Amino acid sequence: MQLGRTFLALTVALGLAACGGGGGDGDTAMGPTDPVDPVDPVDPPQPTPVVPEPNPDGPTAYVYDLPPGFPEPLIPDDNPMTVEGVELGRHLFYERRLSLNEEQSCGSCHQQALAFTDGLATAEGSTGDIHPRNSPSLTNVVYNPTLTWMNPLLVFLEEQALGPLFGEDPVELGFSGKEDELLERLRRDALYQVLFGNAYPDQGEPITLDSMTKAIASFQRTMISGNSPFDKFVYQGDDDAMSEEAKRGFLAFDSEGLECNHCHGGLNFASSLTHAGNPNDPTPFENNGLYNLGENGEYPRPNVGLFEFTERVRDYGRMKPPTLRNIEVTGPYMHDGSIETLEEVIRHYERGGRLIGGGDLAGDGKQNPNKSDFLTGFPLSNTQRLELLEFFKSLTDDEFLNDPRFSSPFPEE
Amino acid sequence: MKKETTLNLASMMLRMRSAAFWAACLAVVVSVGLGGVAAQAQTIGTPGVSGDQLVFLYDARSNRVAFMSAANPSSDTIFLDVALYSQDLTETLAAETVSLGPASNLVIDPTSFGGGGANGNAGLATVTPVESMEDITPVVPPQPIVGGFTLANLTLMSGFGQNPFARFAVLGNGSAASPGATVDGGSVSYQRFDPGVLMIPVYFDPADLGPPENDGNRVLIAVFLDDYDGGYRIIPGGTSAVGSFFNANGLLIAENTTAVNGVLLSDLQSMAGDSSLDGSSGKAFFEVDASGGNVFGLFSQSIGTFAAGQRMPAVAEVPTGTLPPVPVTISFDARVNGEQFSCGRTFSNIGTSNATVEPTDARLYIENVRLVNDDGAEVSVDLEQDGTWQVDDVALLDFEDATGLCGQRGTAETNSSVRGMVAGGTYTRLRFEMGVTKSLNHGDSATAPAPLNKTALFWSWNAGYKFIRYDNIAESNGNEFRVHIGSTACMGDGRGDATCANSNRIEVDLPFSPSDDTVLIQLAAFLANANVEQNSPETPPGCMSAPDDPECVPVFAAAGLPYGANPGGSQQIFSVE
Repeated sequence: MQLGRTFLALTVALGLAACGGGGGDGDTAMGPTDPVDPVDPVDPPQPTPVVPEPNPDGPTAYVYDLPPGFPEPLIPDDNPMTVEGVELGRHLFYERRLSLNEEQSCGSCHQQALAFTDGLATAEGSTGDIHPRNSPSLTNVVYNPTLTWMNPLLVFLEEQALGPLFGEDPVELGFSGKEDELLERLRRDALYQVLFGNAYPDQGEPITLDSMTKAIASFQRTMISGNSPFDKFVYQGDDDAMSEEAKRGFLAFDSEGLECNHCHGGLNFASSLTHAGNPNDPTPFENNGLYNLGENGEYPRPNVGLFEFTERVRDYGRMKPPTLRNIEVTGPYMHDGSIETLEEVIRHYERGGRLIGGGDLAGDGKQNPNKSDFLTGFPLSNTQRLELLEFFKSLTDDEFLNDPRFSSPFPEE
Repeated sequence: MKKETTLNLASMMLRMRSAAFWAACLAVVVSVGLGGVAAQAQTIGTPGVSGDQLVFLYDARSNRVAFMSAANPSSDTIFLDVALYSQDLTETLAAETVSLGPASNLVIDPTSFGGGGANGNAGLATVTPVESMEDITPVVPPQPIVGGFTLANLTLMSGFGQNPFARFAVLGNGSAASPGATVDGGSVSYQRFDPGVLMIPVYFDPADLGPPENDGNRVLIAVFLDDYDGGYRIIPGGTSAVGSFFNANGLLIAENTTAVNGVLLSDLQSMAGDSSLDGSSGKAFFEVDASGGNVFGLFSQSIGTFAAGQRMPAVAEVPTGTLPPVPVTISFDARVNGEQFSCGRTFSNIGTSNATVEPTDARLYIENVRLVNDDGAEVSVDLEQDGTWQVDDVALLDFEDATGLCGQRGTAETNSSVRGMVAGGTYTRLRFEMGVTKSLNHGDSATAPAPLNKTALFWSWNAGYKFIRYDNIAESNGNEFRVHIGSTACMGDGRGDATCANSNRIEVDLPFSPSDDTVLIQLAAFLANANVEQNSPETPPGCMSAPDDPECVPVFAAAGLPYGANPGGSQQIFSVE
């Protein structure tokens, strides 16, 4: 073996530290995961929804069974993790009645098999509105200091959930102004009376917007992916989990030549990692040279990037670099789904920006004045490109994509 | 003679003491800005009971009589010029010079004195010691003269008496002038009655006393100037009395300003203006600017045959106090091109293309509501916490009733007023902001109380609320044109601590009377310079406050808010009817 596991682990740990992380130390993380039985991806178990028994003893604390090397997540004080809250949130996440026309649930745009994305360039709401952006993966979303592609204000999943529920431009779930109907639907249902009552027993009326968004947030906070071949090799002692090509691909990825790790670094291959030991990790927003419109390096409306919130010209086109975990299944790529395949993504970074020759979007992203300094382009051989692809595929966590805990509690329709 | 000299010396000492006393009093009473020490020394707050000149308020109108008296305590014969002036002090209605022997008394009946010219009138009377029967140049008498008066109401058969308004002649430095000295208004002049603030130490419930026409809680205030040119006389002074009325618990219950020209014959309730004093007893203060002349006041009360009255003493200042809160309702009316806004109908001539539109929503938040009183001070309206429309200092105005296209997101309930309590007073302006108070704007909307719990007004992308949503659909092409204004360019986390570069709150300042006026919200003004039948590609429909949206330029301009390179100006939306 050319590349020792220790070396890789050290590199990852360094990457984590470089991105302001800490607590990624396997020694301090919770105990190693027991070997997991292989799950048949074709036929995942589909539990039948049954109305659970009211639990007079109150909610049970949810104990994370973290993959080795993963730090303790940061949980808001006002929404402690409970087994009952997570269970309620799982039901709500997959509940189609959470769209006004009962066409969609959260899970419509965030499908487990696709690492909680939808396979579309840009998402489509319940009423047919096309969202201007690509559905972001929910993989390890608990470690994200901010949510969505470019909104620095969305810090809490509870708050973020209000967007899809009540947003109007575009309409996603379509409940703007219809909150009473939303709550009535749930209050009339015996299943939710028990689920809410068990999760939030100390309230006169447990079925509220507050408890709804808290439960959905709690469920999302359980979506931790850390059993990919990469993890098994680096953290779990399985020398054969990663191919030699993938290992070489990782070293290239992590090299100063390619500079990928500056924006996709650390445990989560993202620009930042927030957790209990690192509660205030800043979120860098970066411009990756997809477009170059006008004199100020603008991106096509309405996806103007961080500029929408700061109104600083230098923030045109700046987006939050997302996690690369499960990247194999989350295409199309970029905030607007404008790159179809991973290979094209690699070629985009090889060039150091995208050249669009004609049309409304004509411009050379490589020359975008707001572009990240790390995005200078690099030469890559066909072999190296394949190795890089192999590395990306080694981040695919099949257990996560098939874990029944994250699946719909409802029977297939 | 020796005895007389002793007496004169004693009276001189009395006069000296009096002058010193008043001078000391002045240091407290007279407001600053009257000039040098000498000028201060020539003014007195509360009139004396004896002096070198007596002034009376008389009332000889129908069914009223007044008697005035002046006494000469000296052992010399003195000459007194007596003049009765009209109520506005512009005319001398009766005048006569009389001689008064030692220890003698003069009674003045205004109905007959000096030919009876003052009969049927009310006004001021002056009793001025003069040189002789022929020469009415004012002089300092050998001893201070004293006197008294009675005012009687023949309808009630009641009356009361009091000391005169007396004052001394003094030198420029405030010391007493010598007997025999000429009072010429130059080196020797009469003290000026300048109390600054007159007080009624106690009044009783006006509802329990006689009505004003029967002299219940009677207030008389005189303002006059001394004119020494060509023989002494008084001339009218014009000013105003700013009244502050406190109840027995010390709470301010009314404030009002009354004009005074010459002699004001009024009553307590009239002086209090619109605020009823009924049911209260307490004290009152009148701040009166003498404007270089003289001010004094008289207050009397009567119940049937019983009456009592007194000269109003001077006090240093009006106690501070705020009027107790009274309910106030501020009414709003939403208009579209002059017509009342409503859902389920169309409005024509909207925007630059004169489009016909049907509204889909019209709701807005108002915060920080203040009324401005007649002193120019802002007084906050304390909003009723009704659990529905108002919380903290924020109110939601909701003009849509969920009919027609408004049914998509609307609510059947509507609200077109802001209700609260405000300190009593006279208010002339209204100020508020269209917006949600910063401390509430970035809270957790999932747990926010009504009216901050309306999801149609959530502004989640900016961690706040839409301050207004006024949405329309154009009839011609179905173009949706929304007006959503809220704070943008925010930094924070949506849990209370966001700060926004663009507050986008509309500051409104309007002339306003709470009882008479309605605030008009000219909704179509938002759209006056917009084309509601089109929308720039890849921008939100209409104006949703995003940066670089061409549709926001005219909308923000109408709101008076800065947008892009436009620095903002005056708002065109809110007015008063």
